[in-house]
Amino acid sequence: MRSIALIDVNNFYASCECVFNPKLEGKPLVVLSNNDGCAIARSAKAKELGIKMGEPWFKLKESAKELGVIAVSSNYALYADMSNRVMSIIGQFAPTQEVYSIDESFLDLTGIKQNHVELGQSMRGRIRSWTGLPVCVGIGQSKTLAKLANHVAKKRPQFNGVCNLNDFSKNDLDLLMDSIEINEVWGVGRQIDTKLRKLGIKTVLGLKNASPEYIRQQFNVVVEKTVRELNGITCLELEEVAPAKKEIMSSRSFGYKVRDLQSLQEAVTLYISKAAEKLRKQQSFAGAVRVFITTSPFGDSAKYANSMTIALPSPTDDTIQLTSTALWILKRIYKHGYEYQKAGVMLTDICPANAQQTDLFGFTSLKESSKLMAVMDAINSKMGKSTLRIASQGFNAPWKMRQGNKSPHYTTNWADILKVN
Amino acid sequence: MSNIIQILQSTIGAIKPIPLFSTKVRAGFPSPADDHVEQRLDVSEYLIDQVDATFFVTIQGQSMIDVGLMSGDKVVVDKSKSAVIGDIILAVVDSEFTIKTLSRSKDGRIRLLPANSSGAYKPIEITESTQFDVWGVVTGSFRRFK
Repeated sequence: MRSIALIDVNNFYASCECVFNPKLEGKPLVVLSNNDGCAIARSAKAKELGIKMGEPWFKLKESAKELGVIAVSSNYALYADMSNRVMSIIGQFAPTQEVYSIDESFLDLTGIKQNHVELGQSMRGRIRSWTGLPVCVGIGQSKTLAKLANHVAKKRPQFNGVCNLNDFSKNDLDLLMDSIEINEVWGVGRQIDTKLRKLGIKTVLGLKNASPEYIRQQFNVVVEKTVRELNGITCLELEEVAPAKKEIMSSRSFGYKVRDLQSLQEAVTLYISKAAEKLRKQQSFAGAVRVFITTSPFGDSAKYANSMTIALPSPTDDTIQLTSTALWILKRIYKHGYEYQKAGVMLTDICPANAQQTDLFGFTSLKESSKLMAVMDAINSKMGKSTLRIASQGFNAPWKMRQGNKSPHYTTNWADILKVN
Repeated sequence: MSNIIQILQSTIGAIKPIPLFSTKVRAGFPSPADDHVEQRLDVSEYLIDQVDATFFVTIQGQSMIDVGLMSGDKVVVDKSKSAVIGDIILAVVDSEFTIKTLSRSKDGRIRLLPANSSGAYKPIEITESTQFDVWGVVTGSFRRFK
């Protein structure tokens, strides 16, 4: 039986912060996007308080103070390094691993003799002990089921962080699926959710039991595959799944085996320029670059796979800068003597270009800006000083300066490592 | 055949010649080091056992100078190792980090010992009301002079 695991770090960014600052443990913590614009991660306590993902910080600020919410700026250098550690540890448990995002990884457990729940618990234990980060493990016959199992492992304490749907009887699985809302299924966004409900499909079980042909008629082949996957038929490979919006991925299997660094460099350069194009099309900047290379998991040839994420000094959509970063990573992870079958790049920490680079004044021509200043001055002189103020450091402030409360680069900068008595 | 070195491999009764080198030696003095190419010594390899579980921390203050940990030294902290009595550990005591030697008092309680004979630092007694956690085991240290 196919057995695919999804390992996912709980509240990844917030958990990374807690590892190096035990005082944050158990506190309501939010991590703000680059630019301190909005909440992009929340600790369990912050979720309990009802703080929503993507909520703008200026809206939260007042009530946050009363509730004792702590806000930190995002520290991508730290998250990327911790992610590399977690992914590397996960890779120790099985040969076929697909890093899906900065905090999620699929792992193929098919054929591994050890009990898979026990294996999942060892993963949890090792990751917790080695990195301090809590993870949950979901296991099922397809990626969609693994995702669902991960959701169950997270939400239902009786599973103790590991849920293997392959251990369920058909009845128990149906009961479980009937208790989960349809929007928890991987790939079911708001639009599909609304339409499914109109069709009378409200729970995961409803979707599982729907006719794939009917679903294709109503939606498309992607949702049809979701139905099949819920029924335990593996049909989604990594490339077939639209990556989360916060990540842009470009990868490919080579038509022939590639051995030399130069060919890999050419491939990675191409992937980066494709990814950068997508990035600019959606008017975004990337804050971090991930590169991965892998040999074929099949056959007798020597196996090797590695990947690494690097945080950029400042977010960019510049192909040249992204390429040089990607090639630098490639050099670090490339090992001579292997037949590579696949390479890929992933752009992460993606944020809107306008929020990033320029502000209200950046878009305004000098003339208009000075007009504005004149109005501002007039209001201020009438209503009292500082009635109108420029948003915090808004004027020519480089984005970096707006990272008001960033934790140190504990693992990537000698000057920033923990200092202990 | 003269430049084929033959090794007689004796397994159970079978004798098999295995050619090792069949290429001719070219003129010119071959580097005697060719046969001894090894990886150059690497400090990281010496100091680190589990790279994914290893973190560095800077020592602050004088509390551990008797075990050779001076203020400003970098220590290697391995989170994959389980601590045993006598280890130098990075502990979290009531949400504060501290580096001390793990020991046990006569009544069986955990006690964190400083290493400074001046007596300026007192052992930290871990009681039921103390929040205590071993963050990692200190496995080494290093320092630069210039």
